[in-house]
Amino acid sequence: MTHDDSRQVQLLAFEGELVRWAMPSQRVLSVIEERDWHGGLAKDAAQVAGIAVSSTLAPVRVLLLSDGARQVPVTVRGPLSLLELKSSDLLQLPPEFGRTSVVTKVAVQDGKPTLVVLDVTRLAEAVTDSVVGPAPSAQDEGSR
Amino acid sequence: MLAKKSGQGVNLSLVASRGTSGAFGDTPQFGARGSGEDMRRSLVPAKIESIWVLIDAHFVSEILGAEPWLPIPDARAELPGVVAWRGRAIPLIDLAGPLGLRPLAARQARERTLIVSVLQSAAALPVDAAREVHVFPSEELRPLHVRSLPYASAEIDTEGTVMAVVDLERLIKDLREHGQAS
Repeated sequence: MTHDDSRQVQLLAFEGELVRWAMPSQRVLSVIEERDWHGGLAKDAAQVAGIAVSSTLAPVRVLLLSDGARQVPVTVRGPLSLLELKSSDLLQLPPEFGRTSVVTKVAVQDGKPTLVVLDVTRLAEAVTDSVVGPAPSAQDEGSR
Repeated sequence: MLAKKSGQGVNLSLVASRGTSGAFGDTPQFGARGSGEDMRRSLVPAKIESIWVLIDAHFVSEILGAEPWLPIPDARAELPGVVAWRGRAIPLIDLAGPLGLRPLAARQARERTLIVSVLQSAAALPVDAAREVHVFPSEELRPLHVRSLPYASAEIDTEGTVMAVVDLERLIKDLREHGQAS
């Protein structure tokens, strides 16, 4: 990784009903079509974060998140996009919003706050009841 | 003219020398801060929908135009989102709820944004209008009588309109304590 690369942050972004949301792509090990997922229960990431997402949004995918030694599956709905931002465009959420939320940062584009960014560690903690284990032998749609 | 870009708003170190006529930013008339500060209170009249309130001018550091804001999931109605300001995300505080009005909806903006600095941090207050700072003699401030609003500390009857003075410190303290508890 070059010095310049280290100043960039890649986000996997999704559409919510009221707000776009994202998570750092470097923490996403795999993106798997739901039908190809044969692991245990994968909780809905947006629901866990309190983000309203239409239940009819398609496709539904399972993301395998890296949380230290663990791999935590979550589902996501709808189209996803990959964004690249300067790390300085990720702003910490003010303390007034609490310190236990899954949302810890916001992303700014053209000077405007445009996405809420989930903390993968906190998301993994929030879904910790779901099945945690190694990646299944599924055909990856992509991996980061 | 009000600056639209964050960080380039109106500097409120000057105080209007005239009354509260005219929307702030149209043709503001500035003069020196009034003498006898201990006997006077400098307040910014701000309107949310149909209700005028007063904000202590020493809290207001800038008045911007409509600022884009981002809703934060599961946030309180009084604290629905954030605004990007000077490289930071600052909380957007919606006074509509405490005033008994309908809270700001996602993607809804108000025409003016007061940037306030309270208890060592900044926050954004979206309002529909703001006027120039008005210096009120302290004897014009009276205990709440006509207005019974949460987070109001006093009221002033000016030209037949009763306006509550918002206790921003108490409001923000409450929001922080709620944030720390969550």
